Amino acid sequence: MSTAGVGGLRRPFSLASLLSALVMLVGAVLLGTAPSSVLASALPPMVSGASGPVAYGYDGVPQVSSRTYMSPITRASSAAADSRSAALIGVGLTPGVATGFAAEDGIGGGARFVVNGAGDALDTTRITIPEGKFGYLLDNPSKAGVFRDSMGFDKQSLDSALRHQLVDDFGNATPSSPMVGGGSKFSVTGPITGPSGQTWNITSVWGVDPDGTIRLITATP
Amino acid sequence: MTASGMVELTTVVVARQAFRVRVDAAGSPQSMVVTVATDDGREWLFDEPGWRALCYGVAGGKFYWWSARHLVAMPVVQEDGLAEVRTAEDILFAYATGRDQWLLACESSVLLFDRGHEIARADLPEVIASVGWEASRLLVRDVTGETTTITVTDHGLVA
Repeated sequence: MSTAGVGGLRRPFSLASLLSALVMLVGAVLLGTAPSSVLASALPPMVSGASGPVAYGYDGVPQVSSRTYMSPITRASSAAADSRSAALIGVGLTPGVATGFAAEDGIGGGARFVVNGAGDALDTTRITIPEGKFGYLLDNPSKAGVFRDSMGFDKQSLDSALRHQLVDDFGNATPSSPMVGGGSKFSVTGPITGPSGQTWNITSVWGVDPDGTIRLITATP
Repeated sequence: MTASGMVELTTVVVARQAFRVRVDAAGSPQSMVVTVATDDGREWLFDEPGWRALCYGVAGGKFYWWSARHLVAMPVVQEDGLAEVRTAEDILFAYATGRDQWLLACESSVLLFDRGHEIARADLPEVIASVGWEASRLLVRDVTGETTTITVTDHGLVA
């Protein structure tokens, strides 16, 4: 088991074990053997729940996150479960494609954790875009031509678009590299369509700070 | 602004060589067309990303310029070719640190290139606001006011 990740971006489980958990969960629900009270009873240590990080919605308002289906992932460590997950990878899911797990409510009501093919898990509740980034992207002459003038973004719509892009394109995130002073850095690239209807291929660069915060550093065409 | 108003002409003289640079930014921010001509009849045409203005530098008798993602050092004598460096990040400042060696301060990282290949990098936690030199050390100040010192050697970067 890798423990290379820090805070919001980590690799606590193998992808195989996570997928096997999903298989077990689906099976249990179909068989009616997994009442929600049971599913919610054995959260793994990585999910800190009420005492954990504050979740922020796309509107930037802190939200209280709620737990739902986390315990099956904990069960996924058995060899039998791993073999089932290997089969699942073979028939349906492609490594490198991000998979959202309804592990706990994240921003916008989506999955809290998103796992990519490398086994990195993105905790969407730890994503933050510092206030100053909007002025940088929307007013700086080297950025405004793209984000404001061409794509038609304002602060609110840009905030939403960048958060969605991180989640949607996490499957092809670059490997993390260490930052000077601590933490690590990665980027995601994908098309974003602005309110104007213009689409650009945007790379957004994110820092994972030592405290686990996933912080936007910059975005660029 | 009309398309013709987006054409900028700049003449740079290095030693006895004059470079006439024409930047047609009618396609910005997507792209801009850069034409560089010398008074001995040579001319080059480049299609460059158009969201950052073209920047210029002179070092060791060489004239160079860079766009958001591409650095080009123009030949001094007719027999020389172009020296080029391409990046995946926006270039803010470019320094010639040796023969065929370039130090690029990009938006949130510092990259060292040798003969067109990246040989070292320092990833910073924030966007770079300004850079300066103190002997062989690069002082990088980011937008939060934090300053990072990076020692530049022939073979790498030490942060």
